[in-house]
Amino acid sequence: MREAIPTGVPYFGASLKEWIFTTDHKKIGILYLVTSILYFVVGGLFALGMRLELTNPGLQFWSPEFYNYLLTGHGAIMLLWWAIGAPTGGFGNFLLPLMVGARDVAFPRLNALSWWAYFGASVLVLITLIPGNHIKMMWTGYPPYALNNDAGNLALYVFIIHLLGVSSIAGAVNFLTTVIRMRAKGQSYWKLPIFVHSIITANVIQILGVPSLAGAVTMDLFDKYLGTAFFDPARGGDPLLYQHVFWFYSHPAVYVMLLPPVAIAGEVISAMAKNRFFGYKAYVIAQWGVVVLGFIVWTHHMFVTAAADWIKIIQSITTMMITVPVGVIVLASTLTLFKGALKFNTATWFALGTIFMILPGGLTGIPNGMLGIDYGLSDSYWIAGHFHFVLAMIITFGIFAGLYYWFPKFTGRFAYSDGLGNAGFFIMFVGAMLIFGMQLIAGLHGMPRRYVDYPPIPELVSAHNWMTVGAFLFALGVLISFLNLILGMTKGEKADANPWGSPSLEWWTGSPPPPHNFDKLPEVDEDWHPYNYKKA
Amino acid sequence: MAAILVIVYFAITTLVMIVGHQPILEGYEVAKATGAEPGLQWYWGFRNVFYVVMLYFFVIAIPFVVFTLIYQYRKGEREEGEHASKPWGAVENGLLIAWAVAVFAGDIFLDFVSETVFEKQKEIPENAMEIKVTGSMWMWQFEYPNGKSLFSFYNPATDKFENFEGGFIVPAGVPIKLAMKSTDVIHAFYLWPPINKLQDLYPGRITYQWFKVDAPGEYLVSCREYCGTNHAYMLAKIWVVPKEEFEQWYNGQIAEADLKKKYSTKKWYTKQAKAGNIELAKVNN
Repeated sequence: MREAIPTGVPYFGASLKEWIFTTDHKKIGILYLVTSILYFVVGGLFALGMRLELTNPGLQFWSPEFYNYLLTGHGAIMLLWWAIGAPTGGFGNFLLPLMVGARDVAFPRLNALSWWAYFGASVLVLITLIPGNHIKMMWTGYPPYALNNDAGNLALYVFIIHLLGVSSIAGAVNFLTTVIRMRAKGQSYWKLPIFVHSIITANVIQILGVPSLAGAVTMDLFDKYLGTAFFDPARGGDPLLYQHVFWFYSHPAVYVMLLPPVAIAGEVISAMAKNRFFGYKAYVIAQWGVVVLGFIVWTHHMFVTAAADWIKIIQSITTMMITVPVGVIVLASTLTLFKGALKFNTATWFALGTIFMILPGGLTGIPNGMLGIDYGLSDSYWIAGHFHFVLAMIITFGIFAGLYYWFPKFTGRFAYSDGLGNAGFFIMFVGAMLIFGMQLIAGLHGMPRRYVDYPPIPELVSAHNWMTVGAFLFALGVLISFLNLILGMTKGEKADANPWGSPSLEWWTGSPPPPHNFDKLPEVDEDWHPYNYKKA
Repeated sequence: MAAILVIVYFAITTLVMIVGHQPILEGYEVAKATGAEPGLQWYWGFRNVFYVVMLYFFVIAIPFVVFTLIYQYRKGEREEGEHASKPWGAVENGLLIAWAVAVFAGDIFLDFVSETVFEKQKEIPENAMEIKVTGSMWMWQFEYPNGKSLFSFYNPATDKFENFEGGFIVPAGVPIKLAMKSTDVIHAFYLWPPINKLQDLYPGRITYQWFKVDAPGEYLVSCREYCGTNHAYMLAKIWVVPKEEFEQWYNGQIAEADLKKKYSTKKWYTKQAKAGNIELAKVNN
């Protein structure tokens, strides 16, 4: 196999040409991370725009059309760029070859193509900022609405999804091949860090699921522009079919987004508590349980649709069963703290935050999964609150935990200050509780999702006021955290190769790693385990 | 310092859970007082589920907080965990299996609650009056068995929510069966609390939902499946009026506007409405 072309040491000082033509997984990982962070900021600004409008009933800032564009943009960007891009693309690319002791991913050029497809989609998204090109069909793109001209440019939306799909599948093939073929000598599957296991499971979902999403949106496209009749009821199609095909991927996609950040939090907790991972094997089996169950629960997004009762009942039960593997994951992460020696720093706080967010997030999911109860909850702010806790917050906190934990690995320095980092965490935490806690409450008072305006009911008005306060607090916390990291790149304290004393393979090389990763490819003995903190 | 922060952190989340519980209890009371069905069963089910959920929450959250407080790094005496290199034993596997079994059992219980509530809500009473509902971008049409038809079109530029008079009239205490379809895109017919019921509308097929309210007054309906620019303004109101007055209006003896004005008691889900409803329930008894 050809190895990646070494392109200068260290990658920090690489020229623009090197960055453009690079096939180095570390540089590609950094490119993914930077892109997804930029888009996280864009999606966040969209959210602040919506919060401004919703603070009080009535229309104050935007027209309904523009609000719908902000909402579509916020959903699509946060899910596709931040939630999939950062953990899988960013951390996955940078860390996975290091964690298995390889010089690069299996197909470095394909890896570069993956990033360029992702980047192409990123540029296309900017086109929608032009007023005439606003897409307003929501990230779900349900027909027949998506076929309506009120929904915006369907072709652009579908092309963006296709590009991201190419990027995801190419990335998935690459990661899986790397793990299967290029593990360090002596490193069996049961000696892979849980983060690597989470990337494996996430990418198995990508390979099985993305074609389904691509198929759904392609049929949408053909219906609108080529006159086919898959979903258009006026010509004998059925919009319900789209919902089935769409959610067949888009529910498992939630676990593509969720498993890696939760695993990152687990890595951080284990390293900071200097304790072996509790129930490591059970955790890995639980991840596979989530994947298997994840593919047979999609109808829980469709409990109030016209889908048949029998499938709703079956999938209501399978949905409830998801709590079993997720419960194992949460308990294993929690018990890793037991008899540990937990060091409190910013990475720890964010990791604890990630695991903690599974409680309000996951538990509010239980009533949603119950067929009889969901009739009053579906499409309300309760749902918005639920998935922001369980997806948005777990992912954001998990990514920040990872950024702080591997910051020395990425840059060779620590973040600027722990105090500043902790302040950032607590402001974000309180902000998140306010926004999404209040969303749950507004939902119970009947507030529907995706409303630019709402009836002036006193409970709703006060809930929305608090949400806006929370949103700006959260934004302040994010700003502080990023400031802390950016300052850390140049002014942070210098870190040595293994600042946290972790035995995992990514710490066996310099920080930042040289272009060829390891001077000598690592070999591990029988005693070695990524969570065996025996003093060497 | 870390200890205080951990406690603050736990307190905030617990507070959110407990504060969030209030609307369920209030909703249950209002649903009882207004005789709103199937909302009553819904709130009953949700209240029970909430207790199980709280149980799950504390089973994980308390150990989580206790461990972070107790097992901390102390320089010189506790620099690494007791299981830094010693593998966990059979206890851990046993604990995880026990936990998985407990969660599984909890799930089975909740599945029964869910099924019970679902079956009860699904049964449409036989004496129900059928109203045909048609949703289009962005208005509602309501058609009665005798051909009478009412509309609701909310214009955000000119209408005021408080005195908006679009919507339909139903008799108190009579189950209403809704046969719904859409003319263009997918909509959803949402009956706001205290009824709290939802059903999607499709072009090209008919879907059903039902409700019954005992206490006369003004209730709220809106679209809850995203349908474009004026999705938020796809509103309608329901005037629940005593049966006799409904018959008179139905047969053309009283004007619609008078009836709407008389029963505009604004029973959207607010604390005021709750107080008013409970009084009303006492009068009825």
